[in-house]
Amino acid sequence: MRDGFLMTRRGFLRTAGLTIMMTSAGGALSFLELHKQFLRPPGALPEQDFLARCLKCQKCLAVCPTSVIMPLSLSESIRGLGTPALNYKNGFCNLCLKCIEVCPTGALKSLRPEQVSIGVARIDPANCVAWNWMGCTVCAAQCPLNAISLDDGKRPVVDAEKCNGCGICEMSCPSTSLRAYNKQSQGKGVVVTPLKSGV
Amino acid sequence: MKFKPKIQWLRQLIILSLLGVVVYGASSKEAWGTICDICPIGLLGVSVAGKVLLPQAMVLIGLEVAAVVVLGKFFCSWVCPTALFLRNNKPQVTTEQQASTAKTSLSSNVGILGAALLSTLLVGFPIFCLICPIGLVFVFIFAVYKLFSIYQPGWELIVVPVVLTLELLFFKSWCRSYCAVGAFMSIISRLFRFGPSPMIQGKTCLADQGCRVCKTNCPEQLDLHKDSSSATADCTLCLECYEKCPTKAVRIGLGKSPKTHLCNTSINDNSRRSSNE
Repeated sequence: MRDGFLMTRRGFLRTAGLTIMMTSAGGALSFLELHKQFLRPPGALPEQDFLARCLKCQKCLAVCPTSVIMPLSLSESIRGLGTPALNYKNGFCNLCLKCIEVCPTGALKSLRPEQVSIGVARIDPANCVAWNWMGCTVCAAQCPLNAISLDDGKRPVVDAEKCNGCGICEMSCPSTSLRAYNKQSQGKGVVVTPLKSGV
Repeated sequence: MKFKPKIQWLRQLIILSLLGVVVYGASSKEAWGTICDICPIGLLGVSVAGKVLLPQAMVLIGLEVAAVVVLGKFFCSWVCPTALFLRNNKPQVTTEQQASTAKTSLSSNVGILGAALLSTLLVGFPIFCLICPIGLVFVFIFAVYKLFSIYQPGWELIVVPVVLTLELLFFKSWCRSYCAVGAFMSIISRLFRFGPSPMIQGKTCLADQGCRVCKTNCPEQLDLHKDSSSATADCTLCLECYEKCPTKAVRIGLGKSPKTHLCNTSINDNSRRSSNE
């Protein structure tokens, strides 16, 4: 009886076709995007495990008081479309760790604030006002962990061991405002980058 | 013409309200999230991809199984965001052949669910979520949120609506043929279904005079006159048959249609196609 138990031939082809297409598309995406790293919320599992567990439920995004968690766009990742990543344009991570509390699948593992390691700040000498010209000390002054110090020429240097990637430096860097009209220098002088801790 | 509210409006209002609640939650820092955090396919997918057993997820899935046992595939008509565009079709008369190829079976549903989970296991992340229209609707909503909060537009603002249109219009039978969430619910409602269902009340039914209104208005093309439990396994409780029956012969009740009613012939017979409505 068609209306009951057995699959029709069309149904079988549909199922097989769907499996093959999803597996090959997913496999291709995994291969192409294998080494992509993003600034994940605090407590995130290593990237491959994180992507296995993330439901894209946006609970972490919803609860974040500083609104730094944003969904990844298509141009940033196809495999990770909609998964949460930190964006320090208008905010920084205040280590409230509410995101970890609300994650339903354990993609974000519980840890203490001092264990948080979102990424590491890197000075971009081409954009940094102090490195490229002189005088700016904003990031060094803002860093709550004193992870940025000024060298002999009063230029900021990041101590990677101390930095937890909170993003206050990136958010407060005035380079994009001061140099808004400078085509050669359009980015921030300090950018938090993901840790290359392997896959 | 008297103003007559349609059940369709109520369904769409409820779904829009749900989307509004999601958006409100995100903008007011409430950890409500989208409905993806309770999706059985998502939860099974991350269990498989992450090779982990999540006790809370299993409890949630158990509750959802119970909800389907009682209310069938009500999700499809009352919660699923795609119901804003689908399930509101104009009545259509299909031929016997079209109707039978459109039917699902237990194995085809298991097949779809298996396809989603097997491919997830092989690729290491919940791949179905990337093509799921429900997931894509929420990706779009949050891409708009991202656009308005940090002024960063993404290509998904264009690509997602295009993909959704292709999936829902081009693959007209997405819900029946490809949706893993629907397949999950169909498997349950085929095996265990104890709860309200539409049925023919009795004497006022005009099926033996050629009336096919309940069937042609049903988005699932179900035939309430068939005396088999799987006849209404795919019922989404949209209540269109209840609303549209010209003699109010359809009621939503428990158990099966009273034996005294069942028409002598099931209404698949083409030669007695309805001439009215």
